[in-house]
Amino acid sequence: MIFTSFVYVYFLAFVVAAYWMAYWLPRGKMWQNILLLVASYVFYGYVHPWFCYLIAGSTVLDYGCGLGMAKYPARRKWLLVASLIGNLGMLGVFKYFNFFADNVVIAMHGLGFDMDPVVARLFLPVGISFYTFQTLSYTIDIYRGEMEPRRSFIDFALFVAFFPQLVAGPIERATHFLPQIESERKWNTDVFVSAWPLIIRGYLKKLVIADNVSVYADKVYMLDHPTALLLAAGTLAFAVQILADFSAYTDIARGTARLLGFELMENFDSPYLAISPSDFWRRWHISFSTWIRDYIYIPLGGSRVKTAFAGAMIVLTSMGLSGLWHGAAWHFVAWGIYHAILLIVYRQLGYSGRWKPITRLGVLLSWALMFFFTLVGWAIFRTPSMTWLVRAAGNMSVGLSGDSLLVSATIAALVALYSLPLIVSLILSRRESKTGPVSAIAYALAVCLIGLFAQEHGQDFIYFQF
Amino acid sequence: MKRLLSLILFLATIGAITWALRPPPIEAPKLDKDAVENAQRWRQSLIDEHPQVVLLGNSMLGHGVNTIHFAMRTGLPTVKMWDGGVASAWRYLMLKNVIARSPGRPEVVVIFFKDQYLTEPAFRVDGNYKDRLDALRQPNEPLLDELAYGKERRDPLAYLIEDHWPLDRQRAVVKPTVEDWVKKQVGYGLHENGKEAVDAAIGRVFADSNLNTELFTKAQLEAMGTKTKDNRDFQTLISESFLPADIQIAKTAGIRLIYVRVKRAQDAQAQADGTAASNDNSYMNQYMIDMRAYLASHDVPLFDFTTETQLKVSDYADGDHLTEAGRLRFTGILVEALKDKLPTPLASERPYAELSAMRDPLVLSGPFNSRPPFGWIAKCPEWKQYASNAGDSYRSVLEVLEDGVPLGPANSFISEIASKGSGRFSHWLDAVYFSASDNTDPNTNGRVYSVRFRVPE
Repeated sequence: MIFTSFVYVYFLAFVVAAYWMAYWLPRGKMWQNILLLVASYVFYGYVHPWFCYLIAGSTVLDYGCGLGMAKYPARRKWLLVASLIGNLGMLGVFKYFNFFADNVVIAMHGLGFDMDPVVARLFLPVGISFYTFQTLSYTIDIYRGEMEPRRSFIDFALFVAFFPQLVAGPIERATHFLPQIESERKWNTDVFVSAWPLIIRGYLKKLVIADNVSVYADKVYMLDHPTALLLAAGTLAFAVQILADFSAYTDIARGTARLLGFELMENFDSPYLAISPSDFWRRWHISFSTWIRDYIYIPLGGSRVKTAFAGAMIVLTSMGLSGLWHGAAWHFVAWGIYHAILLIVYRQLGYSGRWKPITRLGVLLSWALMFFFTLVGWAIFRTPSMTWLVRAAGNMSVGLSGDSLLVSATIAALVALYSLPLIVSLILSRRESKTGPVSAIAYALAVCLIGLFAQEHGQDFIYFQF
Repeated sequence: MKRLLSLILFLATIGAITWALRPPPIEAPKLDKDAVENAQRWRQSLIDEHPQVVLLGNSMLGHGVNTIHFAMRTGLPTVKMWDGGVASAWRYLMLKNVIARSPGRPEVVVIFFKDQYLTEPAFRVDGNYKDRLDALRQPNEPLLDELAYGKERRDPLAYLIEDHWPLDRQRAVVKPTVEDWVKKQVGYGLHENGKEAVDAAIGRVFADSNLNTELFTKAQLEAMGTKTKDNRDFQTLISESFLPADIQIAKTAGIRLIYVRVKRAQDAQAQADGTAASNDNSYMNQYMIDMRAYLASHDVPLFDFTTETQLKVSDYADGDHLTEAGRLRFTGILVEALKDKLPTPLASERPYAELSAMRDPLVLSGPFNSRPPFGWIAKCPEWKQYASNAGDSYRSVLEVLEDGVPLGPANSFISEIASKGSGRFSHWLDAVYFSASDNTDPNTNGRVYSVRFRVPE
C-alpha cells in the first residue's frame, strides 16, 4: 500500500479511529499494539502478501537472538553472527542475487567462458533494506550491552513492522522507538494537530514537486546523447525530485506516527545548504547515515585510526557499502565511493568535522562548491547505468546554444517554479509547532496547490526501490 | 479556541481559493457531428439489416474485406463497421453500446486487429479519436476512463473529489497555463519566438528517435506521456486491456466473438524476402501463443493471417491497406478460414443472390453529366443498395468497362476521379462516377461504357 493511494486514506482513517478507541479497553496499550501490528502487516502485504513471510522471518530471528543473548551470554557472539547471516543473507538473496549472477556471467564471458544467464529473476520486496537495518540495530545494541532484549513479541514485531516508516524509513533505533511502543500513549490534542502540517507538507512535496520535476529528469536521462547543459538541467531536476520525494515520505511517515502518538526521528535537515561533505551527511538521510556511522564506520576504527590511509580505507568501505545499500548496481557503488573521496579530500585539506568558513563569502563559496559536488553525485546516482554515463560523457557536447540551451533553460525554470513550494515548505517547517493564522492560511494554500498541480500519473516513492 | 479559529481559517481559505478559481459550470460536451452521425448510422444498420454477422475494426478491415462478397460467400447478412485508425477502446464501446444493446444484434462479431494493439487500451483515445469515443460512450464509463484515460475512477473518493472540488477540475487549465507562461518567458528571454520555439525545441530534443524508453519503468513512461515500446507480455497486459470486458459483454449478449489478426504488407514482404517480419520476434510469438490460449480458455476462436501465403506484396496499396484485388482475395481467404465458426444462414435466399445475374456487362447510356475536369456521372438509383456509401466506402463490386476493357482503380475518391481521371471510378450511392482512360469526354469519344458486378461464382 502506498501513501498516495486512495485505499491508504481509508486504511489510515480506520486504523487511527480504531487505535484510539482501543485505548479505552482494559489493557488498552496491548490492544493498540496488536491492532498496529495487524495493520502494519496488512499495509505491507497489501499487494504482495508473501512479503509478510520475510518480515515475519526476520522478526522471529532477531527476537530469538535477542532473548538468546540474555539467556546464554557466552554464546552472544554466535547469536549475533546468526542474526547478521540471517538478515544480511535475506537481503543478499533478494536484493543482490541478480546483481551477483549478472556480474559472474559478464566476468566469465570476459574470461572466455559463456554461461547461461540465470533464469530465475528474484523480485525485490519493497523496504527490505530499511527493516533489515532497523532490526539489525536491535541485536547489535543487545550484543554491545546498550539495551536489554524485549520479552514481548508483539512489541518487538511492531518495532520491526510499524507501517508509517516500514517501507522507506526513517530507520528507527530500538533504543529510541521500542520505549515508545512499550509506554502508554495518551490522547494529546496538540500532538494530533501537529501531525497534519507534516502530512500536508509531505503530500505537497510528493504530488506537486517531486512528481512534476521527475518528468524532466526522466526525459533527460532517457536521451542517448544529452549535451552537458541538458544533463546539468536534468540533474538539477533530479536533485529537487529526490529531496522532495524522500523527505515527503519522511514527513508523511512522521505525521502519521504522530496521529498514533509516536515520534519518529527527523531524516533531513536542509541538505542542500551543506557547506562540506561531512555537513551534507549530517543533513541527508540522517537515520541512515548515523546507522552507517554507528554500526560500520566506528566499529571499523572510525577517526581513531593512526594513519590517513587506514582512515581513508574505512571511509571508502563505509561509503561503498552505503552506496550498495541503495541498490544492486555499480553506479550506486560509484556514488558511495564518490562521496567517500569527497570526504577524504576535504578531511586531508582540513575541512572535515564541523568546519565552517569565517566570512559570509566563504560560506557562500563553500556552499556553491558543495552543491556542485552534490549534483555531480546525483548524476552518478541517477544514471541508468555506468555504461550510459561513460558513453554520454564521452560523446558530450556543451550545448550552450540552440535547442539544448532553450530546453535546458526551460527545464531549469520549471524546476525553479516547482521548487518554490519546497522553499515555502522549509519556512513552514520552522513554524510547524505554531497554529497561528499565517500557518493556517499557508497550509490551506498548500492543499489548493496539491489540487491544482498534482501530477496525474504519480510515481512510486524513489526510495521504495531501496 | 485558538485551534478552532485556525481550523476555521484553514477551511475558509481553501473555500475562498476554490470559489475564486471555480470553473464555469460544466456544459454538456459538444459532440462531433460526423462521429454522432456515424454512431447513429451503425445503430440503424443493425435494425434495418438484421445482420447475422458484424465485422468490426479499423481501416485495415475497411480496405481489407468486401461485405458483398463476404455475405454472398457465407450466405449470411453482414454489416461492416469500421472507422479509420480506431483502436481497442472504440471496439469496446461499439461492442458494448452499439452492438450488444441493439435489438438487431448479430449472432457473430468478428473483430479485426493488428499485432499487439488489442491490449493497448490507451492507444488512440485522444484528439479526434476522443470525439469518436465520446459519440459512443455513456455518461458513466468507469472502465473506459480507467483503462483509456488512466483515471482512478473506481474509487468513490476520487469521484467525490472530482465532482465536488472545483480545483481538481481546474488543474487541467491552471497547470498548463502556468507552465506555458514559464516557457514563454524563457523563449522571449532567449530571444526566441516564445512558447512555440520552446515547444518545438522540446519536440526535437526529446523526439522518440532520441529516447531509449527501455531504460525506464512503465510508471515513468506514463508520467512522461510516452508509450512503452515492445511491451508485448500478454499475461501482464491482459488485465489492463478491454479484452476480458469484450468477452464478457459478448457472452452476456449471446454474441459469438471471433478475433482476426490481419496480415500487413511487411508480413508479405518478409515472406517474399524469406526473412522474419519485423514484428515476428520472440515477444510477439509468445504474445500470440498466450493470447490464443487465453481466448481458447473462453471458447473464443482466433485466426492469425500474418503467416498465410496467398496475399502478396502487390495486393497492398500501402503498409496496412489492401488494393481492390487484394480485398477480394482476402475476403475469399477469410470466408474459407471462418466457415466452420460461422452460423447457419437463417434466410432461404442468399444475400445479394440477384447480383449473380449481373455478371455480364450492362451498357451505361448517356448523356453523362460532367464533374470537371475529367469526371463523369451516370445515374443508376436502382443499384444503390450495392453501392459504396459513407459507412462502407469499399463496398461496391461494380466494375466500369471502356469498350469492354476494365477501368480502374475502383472505389476511387470522387475528387480524384474528377481531378486526375485516367480511368478512376466509383459506385457511390445512386450514381457511377467515372473517367475515360485518356480523360476524353465519354459523351463524344465514341467508346462504349458498360458496367458489371464482380461477384463470386
